[in-house]
Amino acid sequence: MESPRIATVAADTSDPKAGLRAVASLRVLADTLELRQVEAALHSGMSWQQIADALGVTRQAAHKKHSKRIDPAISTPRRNK
Amino acid sequence: MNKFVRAAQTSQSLSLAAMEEASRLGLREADIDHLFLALVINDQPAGRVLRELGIDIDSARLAVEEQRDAQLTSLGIEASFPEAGRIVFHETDGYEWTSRARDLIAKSSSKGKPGDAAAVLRELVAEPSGLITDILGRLGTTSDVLIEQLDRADSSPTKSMPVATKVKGRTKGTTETFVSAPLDEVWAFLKDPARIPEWEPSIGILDQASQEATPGTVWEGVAPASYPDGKPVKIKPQFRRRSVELIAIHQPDGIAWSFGYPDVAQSNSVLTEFALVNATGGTQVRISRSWSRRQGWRGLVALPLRPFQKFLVWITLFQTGSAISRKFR
Repeated sequence: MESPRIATVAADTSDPKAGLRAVASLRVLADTLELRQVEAALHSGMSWQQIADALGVTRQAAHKKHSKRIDPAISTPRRNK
Repeated sequence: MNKFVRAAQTSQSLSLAAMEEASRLGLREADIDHLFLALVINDQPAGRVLRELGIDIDSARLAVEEQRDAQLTSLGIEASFPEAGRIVFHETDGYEWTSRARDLIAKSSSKGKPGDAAAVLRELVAEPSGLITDILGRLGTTSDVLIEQLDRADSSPTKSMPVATKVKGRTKGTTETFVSAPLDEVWAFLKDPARIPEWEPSIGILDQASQEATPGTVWEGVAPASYPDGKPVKIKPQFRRRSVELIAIHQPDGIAWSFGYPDVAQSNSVLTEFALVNATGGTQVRISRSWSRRQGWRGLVALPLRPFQKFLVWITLFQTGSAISRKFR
């Protein structure tokens, strides 16, 4: 089982400065993965609403964050599709 | 060159290079680590100082990647960043700086600071998170060594940007760019007519590109039908056809191409010249672009527009320079 070990190390707060900086890197990783997954979702025909539901944010929030960033070759669905 | 122009040009070239580096990683926000990578390939003395410390774009990219991965490991997360791909900046949209990177660049030109690449690098090594210090450590150097080298470079100033030599009756602009590849590779790229569309954005396709390149040879081509991001280009029919002539070739470090519009009466061709110089870790390329000024009343009308013209020349030079730099990364 990996997860308990991850939890133990991640909860290690003996060096908070290094820990905080590492968390910043983790956010960068999360952003990279989020854009990839949104692009893949649009490729597979998912709507902005479905993407937003899966991310747990509003459709407007998902659209505002990603509509300009995605690969322009993807034809994005209209609102009421 | 005044401080404002220098700071604007520095920020423009660093922004482009940093966002190109971010685009390889599938990111749309450029942070201080991408700014560091942009400085490694910068044509100004700051870039030279980094390269003279043995830091090139490949080793710098690797150090950034290892630093990020090591941080994930320190959190106990067994994951790594997705593998970097090619630069897609010019084909995509929605890029921005993180606020700390934006603030850092703004700070480099505030309160009597010069606003050049060296000023940005000084701000960068002093950034409070320690990320850059760690990356420098992975590259076998320290902020102190780097600052010392920067001081030394500042005290023996070399011309950072060439001043355009004035030619009577011609509008001319000059810029320099650093390319992280050996001179012979850059030379082979710039003398190949088939590769002109890769550095000249106004050429889409060139016919008979396999023809041998000797001075006086003329190629025909057409303007591109779409932008790199896939959007169609609107263009008047008479500007669609293009002609390209090889004007001069000085093996192995100088070449001049001329671009014209065969369907336009009184077409004014644009001369693009390249001069290559060996530099630590790559090649310094000087690019000049010039055309003859209109005679008679048209020339007088154009007179008040010269500053604007100068800016336009700089934009096209910047596009060509960054396209060449991108090809070798």
